[in-house]
Amino acid sequence: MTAYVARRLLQLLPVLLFVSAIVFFVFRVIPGDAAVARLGESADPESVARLRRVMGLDRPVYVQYLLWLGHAVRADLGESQINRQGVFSLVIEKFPATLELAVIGIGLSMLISVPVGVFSALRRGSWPDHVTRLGAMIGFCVPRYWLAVLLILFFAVHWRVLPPAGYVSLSESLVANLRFATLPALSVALTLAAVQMRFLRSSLLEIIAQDYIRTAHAKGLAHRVVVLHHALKNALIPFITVAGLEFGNLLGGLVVVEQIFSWPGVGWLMVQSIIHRDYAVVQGAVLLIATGFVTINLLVDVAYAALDPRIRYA
Amino acid sequence: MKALLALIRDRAALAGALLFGVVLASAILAPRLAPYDPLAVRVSERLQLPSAQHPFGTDEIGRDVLSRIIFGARSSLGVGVIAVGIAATLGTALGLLAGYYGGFPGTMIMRGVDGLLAFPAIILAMALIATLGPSLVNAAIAIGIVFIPSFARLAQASALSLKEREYVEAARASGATDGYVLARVLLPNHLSPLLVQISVSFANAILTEAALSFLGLGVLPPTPSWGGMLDTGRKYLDQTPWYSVASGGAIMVAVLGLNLLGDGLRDVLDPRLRGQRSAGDAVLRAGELTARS
Repeated sequence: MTAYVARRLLQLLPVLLFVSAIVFFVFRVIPGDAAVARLGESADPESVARLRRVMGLDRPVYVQYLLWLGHAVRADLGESQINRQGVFSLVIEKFPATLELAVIGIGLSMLISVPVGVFSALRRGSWPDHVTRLGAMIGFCVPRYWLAVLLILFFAVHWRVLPPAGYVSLSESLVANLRFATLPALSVALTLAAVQMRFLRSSLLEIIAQDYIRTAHAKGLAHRVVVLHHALKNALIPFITVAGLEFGNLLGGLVVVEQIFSWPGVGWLMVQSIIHRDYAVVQGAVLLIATGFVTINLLVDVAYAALDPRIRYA
Repeated sequence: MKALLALIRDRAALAGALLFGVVLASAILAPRLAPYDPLAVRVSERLQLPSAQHPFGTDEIGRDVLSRIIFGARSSLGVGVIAVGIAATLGTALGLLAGYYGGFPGTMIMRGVDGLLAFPAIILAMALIATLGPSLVNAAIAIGIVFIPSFARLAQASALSLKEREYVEAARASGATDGYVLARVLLPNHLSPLLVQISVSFANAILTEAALSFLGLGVLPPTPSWGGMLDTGRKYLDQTPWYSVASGGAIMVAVLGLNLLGDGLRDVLDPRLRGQRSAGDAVLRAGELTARS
């Protein structure tokens, strides 16, 4: 296991290096001179040249990349052009809000998908199975942002039971925080649950067809016991992996949800920074989101290997 | 022909084809179908509820919402065609080359492709648009680049297994050049999975375009786009909810249609996967989950 983790960690390095290179060079494409942009069009050529030297813009591109990378690994990603705050702390500050929404959303989605998925597999071919599968197909195709708008329409505009948008931090008030989190988390949970439920149902059905399940039946165990104790345990391993991958994907998937509900997470910050052309923040946010994404996927792989020894030796 | 017949017999695929057909017809026949000019402003008729004159009501400056939704199909399908065109062409070419030649160049290509997968799709698309500037074409280019990995991986897998076949060896033995083998032997045999991937990616491209336009990073006003209308409409939910709801419904119809069609295509073209029909599982299999937004 230790060797496996070490190998995976080593594989992470070139990926992160590649990610940083993409992030650096994508933002080099921006038209115009960064020094001119900072000083303004009317700046005299001499001070532009001086700033270019200070910023390292007169050096070859690969040197600039290495310099930037050197700063980046020391958590120095430059500063926001709007409020001069350090980009790293600006982005990290927003992570807890995004993380909270992702955790609540995933947790809620599992509370829905596991019982529904098991029920649907147990009653394969019955009409409740067909209804839940149709529901899952619709849930799979509903754009999350549309679902969010529908939730606002019903819960905030019509029934006025929940706020349409906004945020109160956890430390301020737990109750208020959860009230604001309910609709965004629901819009995440319902769409994720659709995918999870279909996945769990099909892997359960696949496992139920296997020999050891037949053996369990032959021993005279009740169908329910066989499914819940023998089949579900094995079906949950890939299911947890999928949920873990979804968790990583939410780093991107939450962008629109955060925007709709004015939820001040990393995605929200990124959209605001793009609108205000605050490129340093956008670049830093992309780098940190990608790093988080790659790291979460690695953790999921390791967890998968820990749960299922077959993976380690594959 | 046999495949086409099988597709017509598959009820879900037929429903998908009909749904997508409606969207396609809207895009092509928009000027004939739309009751009003999608850009015609009538401030006196702003934010009306649905009526016989305006089935989905009017927007914040009195434009007919139905007409804008019909014309919006052009933005969505336009972006979808360009994006999937870029991704399918570049991705398939890179994947076939990597799989056929293998070795160091093949590894380098696939590592580059994996590097693109290290970003959540919409984040990379947003980063590209931040530097290119928001517009319909730039959104399409960004989505196209983001979708390259799924096509490249699929093509590489095809090439790896196909190149061991006897007919490929036979073609080479009879003096065919590498270019001939790639274009005339490998590519035609890769068409079935490619078609399925195109339909799934098309749905994802429409979803991503709508998300970008929703964020103000895609199709710019006054050009009608479903994502943009969904965004503007949500500010008037208490006055005319149909504005936003109908725009989102259009996205849903297009995506549902393409997914059903993709499922059907998979069953017909790829008999190995028969019995596994479900868009969710297919998406997970293709490692496409990242493209959801």
